[in-house]
Amino acid sequence: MLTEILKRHDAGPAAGAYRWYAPDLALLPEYALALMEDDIRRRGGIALSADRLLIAADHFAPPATIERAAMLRMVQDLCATMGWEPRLFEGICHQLLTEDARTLPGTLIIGSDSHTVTAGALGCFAAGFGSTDVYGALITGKIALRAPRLIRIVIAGSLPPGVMGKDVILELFRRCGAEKLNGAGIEFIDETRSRICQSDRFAICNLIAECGAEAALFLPDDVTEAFLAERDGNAPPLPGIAEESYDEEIVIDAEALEPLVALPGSPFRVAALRAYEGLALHQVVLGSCAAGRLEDFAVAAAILDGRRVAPGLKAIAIPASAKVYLAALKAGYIATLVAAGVCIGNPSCGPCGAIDKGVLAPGERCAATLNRNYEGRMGAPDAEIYLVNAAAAAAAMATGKLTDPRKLL
Amino acid sequence: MRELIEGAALVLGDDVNTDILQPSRYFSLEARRRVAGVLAGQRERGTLAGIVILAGRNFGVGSSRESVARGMIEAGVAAIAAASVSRIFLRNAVNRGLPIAAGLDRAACATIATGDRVALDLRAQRVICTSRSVSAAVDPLDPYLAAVLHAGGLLPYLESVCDTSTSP
Repeated sequence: MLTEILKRHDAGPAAGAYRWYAPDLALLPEYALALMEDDIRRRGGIALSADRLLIAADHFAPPATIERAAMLRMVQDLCATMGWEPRLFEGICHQLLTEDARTLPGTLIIGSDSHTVTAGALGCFAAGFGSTDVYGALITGKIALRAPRLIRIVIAGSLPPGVMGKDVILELFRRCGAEKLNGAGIEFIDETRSRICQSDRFAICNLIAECGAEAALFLPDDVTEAFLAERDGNAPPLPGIAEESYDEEIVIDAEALEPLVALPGSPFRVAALRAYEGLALHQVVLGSCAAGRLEDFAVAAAILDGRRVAPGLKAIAIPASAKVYLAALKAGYIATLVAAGVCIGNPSCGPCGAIDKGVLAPGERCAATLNRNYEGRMGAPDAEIYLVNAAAAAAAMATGKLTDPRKLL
Repeated sequence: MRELIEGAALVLGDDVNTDILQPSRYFSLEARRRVAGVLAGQRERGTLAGIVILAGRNFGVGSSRESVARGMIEAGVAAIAAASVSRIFLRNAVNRGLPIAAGLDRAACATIATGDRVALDLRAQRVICTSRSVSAAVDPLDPYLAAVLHAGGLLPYLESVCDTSTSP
């Protein structure tokens, strides 16, 4: 399907293996737009019309330093000049993209942030780039891409309780390593009996950014259709899926999965969570564009209902968007978490990227639902970050230790 | 852009991610701040002006924030050769005109140490270290990436191949 999407957006040959493609939509978080501000002002106009942009203030949301406040001010002023409407503090740009009615199966979406690939879970060719690539697309209406070699990943069986999308993608990383997936186009096919919910599909595609794949998508199916019907009030007909020839096929048997953990340093250092049970934690974070969706809050609330956050543990939960926040309030999940002693952050990137409140002190150990655990990712370079699913994060909040969530379900 | 880039080697390992190359708190519109952040987490950072980075697998994995590649260029990093380079970082480096090569034969250049004089020869597709008698292969860049690099970056390249002058 990735090849088919590229064909439908083809805008002629570039050079070598690269061709020009015309994107339907460009995603611009405020920090990346700040890097293009002077170029855009100098030009005075761009080729992509405002209805093809999604601009969000989510990294500096709200800004915590004078420098970041100045950057956001600059971006807001630019948007006012250009007639663009940035989404202020409404959520992480990748979550807003999934909530946007323009994000449809078969579309080509570019974004100036690596996790743009999250939207691939709706059957888009969605890819992240640096600011200059996206600026180039803004002024020419096209971007140079290389049709990737394709890897088909079949997820079969049925997800056991306590196992989530995060575990599916960590299992893929455990098997493949970073090398094999870099530059590839990945197509997930959900053949599970239990069906992988849309939220877990977003989590799976989100972490694809860590392996450097060109793009990744879920082949649209009944789950996609139901998500779109609820989001847009009507589901557009799913695009016909052309037969692709894959370079490789990998089968993941969901039945055999258990809750996993990525050990500090890299999302590719994957181990069974139960092998690390009991490791004492200073902080637990539920949130980021890898999690923080309604289903994640539902799982966390179910585990924390009637329980308390372990004494001394810093427990933080951040809804991925205002829409998620409101839905979690209505469903009572937020009340359950607050009653348990969890601190609720506002929809934003939060401490991911060591940007906002919730950064780690030297020597601290944290379990988090994020996508990255490189040294310094959440603050001090020697702080340890263990990546887990939302259920395991909630279980860790209750015990103050790395905990197999299946014991608390 | 030059085809032969010489400098002092800085030898790094595998999976050197963007948070190591430049911690996110150094994301800034000021070059001075971006430069201060380059390899800020490394104990033995040393001088960065004129260095040629030799690294292992998956170089530049992680964030797309372009302040990393921009900061490295502003700090004077002359070139990068790595066993493999993560997709977005490769594009960012090329788009800003930073000479970079993937496919570095690590076994062939195992004797090169930080501080050795080395050269990245993009035309011959080799990393050369005369003092260690090393000539290690790198992969050729795709002709598109080579053309962008040759033009000095994406913006000059686009000006040469597209009509970028029309305002909507």
